[in-house]
Order: sequence, then C-alpha cells, then structure tokens
Amino acid sequence: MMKLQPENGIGRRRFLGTSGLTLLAASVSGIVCNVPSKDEDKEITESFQADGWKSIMEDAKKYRKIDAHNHVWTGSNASQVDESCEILGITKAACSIPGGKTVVDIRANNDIIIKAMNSHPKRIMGQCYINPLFKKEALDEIDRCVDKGMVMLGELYDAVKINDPLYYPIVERCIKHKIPMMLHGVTTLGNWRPGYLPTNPPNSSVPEDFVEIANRYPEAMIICGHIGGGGNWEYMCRILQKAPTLYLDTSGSVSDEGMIDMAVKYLGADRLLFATDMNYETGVGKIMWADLSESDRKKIFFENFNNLLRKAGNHAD
Amino acid sequence: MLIDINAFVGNWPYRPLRGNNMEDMLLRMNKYGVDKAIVSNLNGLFYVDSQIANEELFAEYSSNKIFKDRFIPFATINPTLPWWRDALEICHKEFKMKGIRIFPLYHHYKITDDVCIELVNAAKALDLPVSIPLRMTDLRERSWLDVDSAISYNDIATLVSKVPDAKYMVLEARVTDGQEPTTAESLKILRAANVLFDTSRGSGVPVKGPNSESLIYLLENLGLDKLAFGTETPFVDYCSPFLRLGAFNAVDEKTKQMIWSGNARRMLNI
Repeated sequence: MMKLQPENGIGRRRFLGTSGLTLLAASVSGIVCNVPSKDEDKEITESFQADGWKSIMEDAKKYRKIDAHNHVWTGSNASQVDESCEILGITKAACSIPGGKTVVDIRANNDIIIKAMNSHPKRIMGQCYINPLFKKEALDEIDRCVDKGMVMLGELYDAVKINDPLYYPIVERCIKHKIPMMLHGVTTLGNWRPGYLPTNPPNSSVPEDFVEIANRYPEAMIICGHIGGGGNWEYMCRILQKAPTLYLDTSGSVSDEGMIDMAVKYLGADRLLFATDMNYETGVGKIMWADLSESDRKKIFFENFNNLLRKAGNHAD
Repeated sequence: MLIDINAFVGNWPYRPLRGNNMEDMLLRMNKYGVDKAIVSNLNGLFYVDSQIANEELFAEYSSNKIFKDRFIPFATINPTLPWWRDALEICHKEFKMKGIRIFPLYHHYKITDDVCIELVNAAKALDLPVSIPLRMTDLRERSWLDVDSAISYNDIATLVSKVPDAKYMVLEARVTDGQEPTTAESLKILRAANVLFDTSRGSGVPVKGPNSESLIYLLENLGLDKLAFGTETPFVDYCSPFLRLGAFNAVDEKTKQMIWSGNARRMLNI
C-alpha cells in the first residue's frame, strides 16, 4: 500500500523518483506505475488541508519573539517596523542604523534610533552603532546610548574586523555594561576564498574572526549577524562551533531548506537568536519550518535573546 | 485554490535538498493547502541532454495517478541542442507537458540569441508558457562552480519585445543586489505583456527592504494581473512563501485570490 513517508524518511519513490533508475525502468517496461487502490487515493485526498497555511500562520503568530537584528531605515521607518512586527507576531525588535562617516553622523543615526525607541517603546529596542576607529568617541557613544536606554551594540559593520585590537576596549565596555554586541558576519565566496570577487569590503568579519574574539573574551555576549545574510551558511556552522560562547542570529533574506537545522546541529539551539534583518516573513518562516522541538523553537524565538538582555535588566517580561 | 508556479523536483549539485520529489512535495502541499504545483526537473540544468531530465520527470509524473491531479509538468528545453525541436514536440505531444522552462545562464546562451527566440516562438505556437527563473540561488552563497550572474527584468523585457505575444512566467522575481536598475522602457514592455511574476521573493509587510523586494513594488509597477504565487520549493523553507502573501494586507481578498491562483489559471487555461 502506498503511504506518503515523513519528509525526513527515504521513501521508495524518493529513491527512484528522479534517478536514472526511473528512466531505466521506464525504458524497459514502459512507465513504472504504482497505481494506488481507492483506499490509498482516499488517504492522500483526506490529508489535504484546504487553507492549511492559514493555521500555520496563526501558529507562528502565537510564539513570543524578540528580533535580535533589525533596522530603522529608508522604507523601514519606526511605524513600518511596528506594523510589520505586529503582522508576524514579533513582540520586540532591536534596531540600528549602521554607518556614518563622522562621529557627528553616527551620533545623529543613533539619535534616530532613540527617537524610534521613544515613539514605539513597546516594540523597538535600540542598538547602538559605533565605529572603533573613533576610539574615545566610540566609548563615549556607547555610554551615552546605554544611558538613553539602548540594550546592545549593533549592527557593527566593516570599518575594522571584530578581532582587531581596536575592538578590545569596545568589547570590554560591553562586558562592563552587561550588554550584547552584534556584528555583520560575512561568508560570501570572495571574502573567504582568494581569487573570487569579494562582495563585502575586505575588513568584513568572517567566522574565524568571531571565534578569535569570542575565545579572547568568553564572558562577552558576541553575536555573529545573519546566518542568512547571503553567504555560505555551512561555513558559519562549521567554524562558529569552535567558540562555545558565540551566538548566531538567524536573520537575512536567505531561508534555505536545512539551514537552521544545520545551525542547530553544529551550534545547538541555545546559541541561535531569532532575527529578521528586515526580512520579516523569512525570519519567522525559517524557524517555523525547521525541524525543531517545541522547546527549542521557543528558545530561538524568544528565550535565548531575552536571557542575554536580562543580564542588564533589559529583558521582556 | 492555490497554485504554486515555482517548484522543482530533482537534484542540486551544490547542496542536498529535501522534498525534491513528487511524493515528498505532495506531503507539504497537502499540509499547506496547495492544490497544484508547476514542476520541472532540476537535473535538466546539468545533464548534457536535458531531454533525459524531461523523460525522468514524465516517468515520475506517470507513476501515480494522484500526481497527475496535483502537478503540472513543465519541460526543460535547451535550445542550443540540435534536437531541441524534437524534445519540445515529445514533451508537448507525448508527455502532455503544459509549458517550458529555460535556463540561459546554465545552458550558456543569451536570452536574445536567435535559438532562444526560435524556441520562444515555437512555444508560443503551441500555446505553452515560457517560465524563466531570474536566478537559481542567491549569488552571494554560490558555489565556485555555479553561475555568477542573474537575469534582470531588462533582459526579460528585451526577450518580450522580440516575441511580444508569448506567455511568460518570471520566477524569483526581485531586483537582485548590484543589478542594473529596471528601466522605464522595460517596465512599459512588461506591463503590456502576458507575463506573470512569482511571489517567492517578494515581501508583503509594510517595510520595504533596500532592494525593492516588496510585493507592493511588483503590484504597483506591473499590475494586478501580473502576480502569481510561487514557493521556490525545494530550495527554501516552505513556510515563508505563505507568510509573504498572508502578510500582504495592502490588497483585498479578491486580489489575493488572483495571486494565489487566478492569474495562473488564466495563463494555464485551467
């Protein structure tokens, strides 16, 4: 009797389905037919859930979620962030504006985030952006932003690599404030394999850089940004596992089948933090689709990041 | 009714896939309530003779009558092969395939090459839609063996301008990072054409990302009758495509039904 197998199983048809064996069988005996009985037809027909996606969307909205990596940006103002989060059931979102050529620019961008926090206090949490090249000013800006209620650093970018000594005082200041820091992680082909065009600047941080800084400061809460940010996520999983205190956020537009499952396998569910990086549907969808226990799904959506925020008293109730 | 215009069976050489056969795909379709899916065989991108992939697809499709109710097979045709006309005829007449997919970057020809124009004209004569993925994977995560560029809306518009009355389906519809801007002339051509753009990479929420990837961008620039639901399965998670359209509150339910299946049914005459 034909029975549809669970997706992770290897069904007979899965083995034959698109292999040369099917063609061989077809050419030898005509078309391979496994004509089901009427009962089998009925079984498959009855498993069809009309509008099944609607209940899955409702289920997704029920999970509490804190977004560890989001932005207030052009086309993504505070109201749009708030509304988009509401649609997908995202309780809170930590937002930043990375960039700024001068100290004044950077401070102005952080002020926009502070404004967003104040206009949407229930939804938006602040991430402070700094550039380590502005040594003293960067430390001063961290203190100012924390004083204004920001909960972490983010999204730190590619001015210098995260394992550069310029980052040491930044990491130490985060440890002092008991706040996490999240930096743009990169695994695009040209950034790790010589001879291919890098799509990110050369000072972008690759997983090995995160491992080095995390092992130097195991007490720090360092988050590698976006496993789905458009690089080789297998690379992230294989290398980031070497620093047991590192965290990885699940954001980015890439939501490849199996990506989150591999991250859980190599890093463990306790080290993954739900995030969108403005990709709301894939942010939620990839966690809902992953082969996770209920407990692990709750950890990734909410508990892991909330526990990091708890250390400075910035957690959600 | 839900119709997925962007699904594949077969293998991808750069990473393992799940749900990449009709039996497994049917499980997820049943769970999410997808009535029908347009499928082609990924193996056809890589075999020297893509017709073998079409034969594989037909064998799988014919192996269970339930598959005939739920899947709409599209042939993978490589117009650089001297036997492409034979392949097209067999896929149309014997295999009863309902459309074709073309992969210019993977089969190493330009979308405006004479052979491609000939193929599109031949498909038009048979009333077969021509489905064209702009890309198969995010270029930033590509293997060193994979192609390093994507097809643009401008490329599609150029093809459409040469065969304006064919039927087209554009998959992975989104402006790709670093790609040339879509020109006003291209948008004008695409708006006037019989073309569907899939929703597999468009976002429905109010936030508009940095790359104009929102569904509202497609809707406003191309028109209500141009969008059709697509999942990109088995490459990506199967949940997000439904959330994209489910979250698209900028349109009413009637428009959503056109996107879920109405526009595809119109093009496929079903």
